[in-house]
Amino acid sequence: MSAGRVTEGMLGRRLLSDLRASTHRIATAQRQIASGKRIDKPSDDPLATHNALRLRSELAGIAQDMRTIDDTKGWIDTTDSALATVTDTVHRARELALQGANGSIGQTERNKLADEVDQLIETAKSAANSSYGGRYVLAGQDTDDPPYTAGAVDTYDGDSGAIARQIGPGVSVQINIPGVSVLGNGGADNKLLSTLRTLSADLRSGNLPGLRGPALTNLDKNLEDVTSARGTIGALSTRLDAAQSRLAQVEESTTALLSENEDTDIAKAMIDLTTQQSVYQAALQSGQSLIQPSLLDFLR
Amino acid sequence: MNVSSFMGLQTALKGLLAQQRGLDVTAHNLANANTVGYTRQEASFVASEPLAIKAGALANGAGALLGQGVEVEAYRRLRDNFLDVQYRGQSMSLAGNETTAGALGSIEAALNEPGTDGISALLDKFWSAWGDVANYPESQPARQALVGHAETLANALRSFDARLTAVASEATAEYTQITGPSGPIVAAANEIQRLNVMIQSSVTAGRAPNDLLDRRDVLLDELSGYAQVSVTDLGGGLIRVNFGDAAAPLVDGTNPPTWPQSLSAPGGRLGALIDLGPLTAGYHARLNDVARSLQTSVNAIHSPPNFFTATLGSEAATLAVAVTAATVKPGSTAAVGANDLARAIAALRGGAADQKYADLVGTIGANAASVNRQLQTSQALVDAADTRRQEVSGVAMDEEVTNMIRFQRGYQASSRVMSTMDEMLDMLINRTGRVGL
Repeated sequence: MSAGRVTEGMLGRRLLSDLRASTHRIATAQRQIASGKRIDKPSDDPLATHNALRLRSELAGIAQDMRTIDDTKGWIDTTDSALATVTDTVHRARELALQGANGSIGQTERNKLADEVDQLIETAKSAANSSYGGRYVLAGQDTDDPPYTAGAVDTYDGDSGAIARQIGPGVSVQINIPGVSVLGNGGADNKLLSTLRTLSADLRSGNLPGLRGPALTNLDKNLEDVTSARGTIGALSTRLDAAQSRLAQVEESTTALLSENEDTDIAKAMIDLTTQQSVYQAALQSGQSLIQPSLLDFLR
Repeated sequence: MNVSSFMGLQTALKGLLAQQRGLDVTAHNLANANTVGYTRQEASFVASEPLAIKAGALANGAGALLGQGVEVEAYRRLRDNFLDVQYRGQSMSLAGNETTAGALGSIEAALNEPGTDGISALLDKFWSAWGDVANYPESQPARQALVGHAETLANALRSFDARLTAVASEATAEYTQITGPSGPIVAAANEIQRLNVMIQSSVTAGRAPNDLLDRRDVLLDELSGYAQVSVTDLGGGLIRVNFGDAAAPLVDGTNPPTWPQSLSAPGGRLGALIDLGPLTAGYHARLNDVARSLQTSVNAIHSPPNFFTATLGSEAATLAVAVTAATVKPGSTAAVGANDLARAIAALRGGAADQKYADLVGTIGANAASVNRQLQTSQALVDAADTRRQEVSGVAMDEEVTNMIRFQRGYQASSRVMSTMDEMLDMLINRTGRVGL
């Protein structure tokens, strides 16, 4: 036995398997560059794959929360502008009550004031019927029906159900103000609509004590209701902005993490590719010069 | 005793014949330089039995032994059986790893992770669809989209489950084909048995059946890819071949092969095919766990009615969406704006189902990575064992050409001896005693 013998067959096989390995590495580097991903299948890096799945799920959750926040902001803006109209209505009603309470004006004037109050009632109701994306924002959970109907009937047609949205992992906020808490359910509940109806009646009947006393007190209370509702909405809007910018930050850092986890380091991959290509060419050249000559070339 | 005048001719003839045999062997080696499993041969020369010359042959009166030329003692086969054992051991693990790596590769391809089309992406879309329903509980299109995403997800789970089943049944089919009556095992076993008979008769007749031995070794190499092969030399050119963990020897001398036999852990490709059953069964169980987590966590919030239905024990294969856009329930009350259930389900994102699925992908990836590493190692070891075997048994052209020159020169020299003898005898026969003629 003579260890260290080298035969032509061995050389050929060795060269072939080296070339094959080199081609394989070139293909890997090319795939990493072309796809931009370091991981093509789970076995390329099982741990990084596991992380990638988790990070992608987090990103999808963040995207969903951001979409929810965008939608909620529209909802909040609609609510706020409806409540702003209602606020204006209360202010105007107060002015009208003060004018009507003035003993120097005549009943004809008061009737005109009463007409305007009736208009204010319709304005307030139509503001309360504001909708966003086909949903009535002040109707509680009964979002597909307008909460109030135009005309003499002031009954609230919604419910007092709360609508909540998730604006972050584990963070839910109530986003709606049921209209009944501001405008009331008609009748004698001393909410805005009831106050305005009484005001209109008092104006028409010339009930000056009523106009000077309960009407103003009630309007002040109603204004408080609206203001407090707007305060809630304002605070919510701030909270949404904060949540949005926090989510944007988390999204940025998670995306960076994901990229670090699975994206190709292009510079490194390019160097790998170039190195492997020159190795491959060198192997081919050495194969050419190594395998061809044998003793047969020199003997005649 | 006198030495015949013609003895030198005989010695030269023996030289001529021996060199010719050497050249023949060289020709055979060169002809088989690229034959798989060929072992280089060598004509082994030995000096002929010397001629004893009686006392008085030398100056001091002692006897002597006069050389009578050369003989070919044997045609040796240059092979190291220990290297065969090593090669077959590595070739067995290589074939096993190749089979496992192939199956895991196809499972990985079916997973399509990490990507935008895999089950994890569909889970993300499913949870997001619930988020959309929570934002628009009144919206029929949102619920329709949710049902669509849920069906796509259930389909993906079912088809991955089917892929696992297919891998297992392909493995069983391949095992049956290999071990079957027209498979390679029984063919190789029959051939080995026939070679045993032929080799035995050659050995009995005193001939060295080098090329038959090579063929038998090639068959043993081939068998070693399928399972663990152990060879016992029975003497007289016969071998006994034990295959995997089969109870009886596959081939025992000249007896007909014992096949089929049952194998439980044979190693090699057959062993890997057997092991694929439990391996895929494990993945099945984990995938069922994923589907069950998905089903129970969503149903716990949504029921009644159940959102998903599935058969206990085969959840992944039977997972189906049981609701329509009209019966999806975003809220616990009948109010159209109620979205508490939808929110609760959307918040399941990243929960048990997602985690179990990610763990399953991690496990499959880790298993595949590990078998790929083993595959590279065993490939390197097979290459190394084969190289060592070639070092001993391979045909080296330069060496053979050198031998060719050696034998050619030897032949020329022997014939020169012969013609010298001839001239000498010519002198003796034709010129001697012709003085004055």
